Amino acid sequence: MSNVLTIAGRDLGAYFRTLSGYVIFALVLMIDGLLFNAFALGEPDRRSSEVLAKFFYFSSGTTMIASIMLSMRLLAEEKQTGTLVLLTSSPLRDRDIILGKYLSGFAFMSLMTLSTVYMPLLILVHGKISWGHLFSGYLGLLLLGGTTLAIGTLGSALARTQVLAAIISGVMVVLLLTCWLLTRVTDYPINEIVLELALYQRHFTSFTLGIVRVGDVLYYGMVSYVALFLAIRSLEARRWQ
Amino acid sequence: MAITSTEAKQHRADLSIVYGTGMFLVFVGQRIVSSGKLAWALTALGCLGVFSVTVLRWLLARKAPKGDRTGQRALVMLYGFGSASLLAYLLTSDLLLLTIGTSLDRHAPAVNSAIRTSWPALWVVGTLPVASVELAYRSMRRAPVFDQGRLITSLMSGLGVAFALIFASASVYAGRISELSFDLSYFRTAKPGESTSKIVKSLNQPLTITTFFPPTSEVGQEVASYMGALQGTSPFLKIEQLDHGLDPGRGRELGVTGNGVIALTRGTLRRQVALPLEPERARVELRKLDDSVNSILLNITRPARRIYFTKGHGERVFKPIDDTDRRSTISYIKQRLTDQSASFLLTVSNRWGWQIHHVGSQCAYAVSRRHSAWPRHHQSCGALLDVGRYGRRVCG
Repeated sequence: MSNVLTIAGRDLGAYFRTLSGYVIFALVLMIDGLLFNAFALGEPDRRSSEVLAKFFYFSSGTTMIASIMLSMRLLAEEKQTGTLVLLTSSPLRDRDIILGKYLSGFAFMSLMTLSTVYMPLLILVHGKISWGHLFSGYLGLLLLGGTTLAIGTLGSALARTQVLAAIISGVMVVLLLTCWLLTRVTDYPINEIVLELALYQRHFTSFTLGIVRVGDVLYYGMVSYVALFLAIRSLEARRWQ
Repeated sequence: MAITSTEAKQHRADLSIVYGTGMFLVFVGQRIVSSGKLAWALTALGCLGVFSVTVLRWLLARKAPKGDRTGQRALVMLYGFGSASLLAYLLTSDLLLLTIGTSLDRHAPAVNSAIRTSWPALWVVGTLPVASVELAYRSMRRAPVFDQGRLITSLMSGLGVAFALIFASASVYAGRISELSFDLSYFRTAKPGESTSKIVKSLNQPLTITTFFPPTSEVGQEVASYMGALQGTSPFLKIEQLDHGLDPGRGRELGVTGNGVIALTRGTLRRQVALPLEPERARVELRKLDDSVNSILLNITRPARRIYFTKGHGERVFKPIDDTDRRSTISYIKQRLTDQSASFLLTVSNRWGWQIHHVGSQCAYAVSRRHSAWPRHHQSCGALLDVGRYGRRVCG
């Protein structure tokens, strides 16, 4: 575990030492703020809970994009700069490398997401929201962001360059986002499986409404687990490929 | 352990290609074409391919050089899992019904369920690792010798991915069927429950639900979303959303004096649910909305019933004798039964003779046999005739 934390601390520091971390952080805050003002607060006669749901709806998009941008450098950058050999030849298991890097990305993404909390709190000036709804929405954002980050980590483990990693991760996330459309052209039980895989449509909407479903939490946890597991196997595949 | 380059060239990757193609043909036949002769032809061709290469791989594994036996045996095992998954699938498909006129589901439903659940897992175990083992073989295609360690690692890697997928799928499935959720939203308006939906579905007479809320009311919108879920459940259900300020006439007709009321009307029967218009105060009532609507629906949709019971020897009284009397009173039971739409409540007392209580929706009459006024109560006479008809059973 200490190896994982060492790598996580090193990579988390790298986000703050480089410009890219601050740029992503600032862009997310700016876009979230703009969308919140334009679409959530901008329209009259709307219930507080609807404004909050709108905020989580917009934030989910920026969180997913930011997660892909944060994760694309995790392993691909090491490959590009040739430092992955140093990591893999050090007394570390592949699991430690992947988990450490994922944890650093998750910590940065969580910090970035939670720093937007002042926006929903503004609703309290003229409206009423439940703290549970706020918790539920942020839990959903963290789970969605964490899952996207895990998929991005897998993409980064598969690709040789950062751009390619972003493209691979983006394609995987878009596939998971849009796969529910296939339910219209497939029969049971394929349509059920496809629908269950839908990253946003099936599993995120309830969080925006203040409902925490254990099934959704499990889904995000399991997709993250499988993505990270595949990333570990991908790194490990260098031994037999 | 190393083997010679001559032996290394004996690995037949094309068998795995046939294996994969066979699986794909079965998928196309069963899921894309799905019915007709073509579907079964593709399925048969796919199965033939898979089973043939499994046998062929087994024969090759027996003759494989010593250093390559582990890899070949692993492939045989994986092909075996794949073939078993196909067999299991075919057992639960329409094949048995089409060939022998019966199905496994009819004779052994538990076995059928177990097989239906297990064949996808068997398929994943028998397919994914094949790809990783073949990738390992491919990476050594120019090598003078096979590295057995690579083959084992690739096999374990493939199996690990397969088991991770099975575990993840099972967990997500378990989470989905548990339907455990926590509603943390500000408004927790209940949704129509199964019982309410069933009552509405079974309606055989028109039922009108009229809601009176101002158009901008947040509580009204929550009620509207609840009613929206009920809308269309039954052709006998009519939902009206009105503002009492704009439709006072309809309000008077239903006995509603202001906004914040849900009126349920069935024939002459009317019931109301009152809700505060302030969101803060309405939160609790909104959470219980389905309970309220459900009990009213039970009340007004059930046909009128007659309930007879004896008063006995004073074990039950109409009202508590004093503050220390904790017995459940007849008045209480009467009220509960009235709430359940009971039309008559008859009590028989040894001490006072016949006492007949006619409990309608609005009123109650009490008549005693010794009371001089009882024959004048027309409805009570009808009730007494009923006592005559059922009295023996009641008294007995």
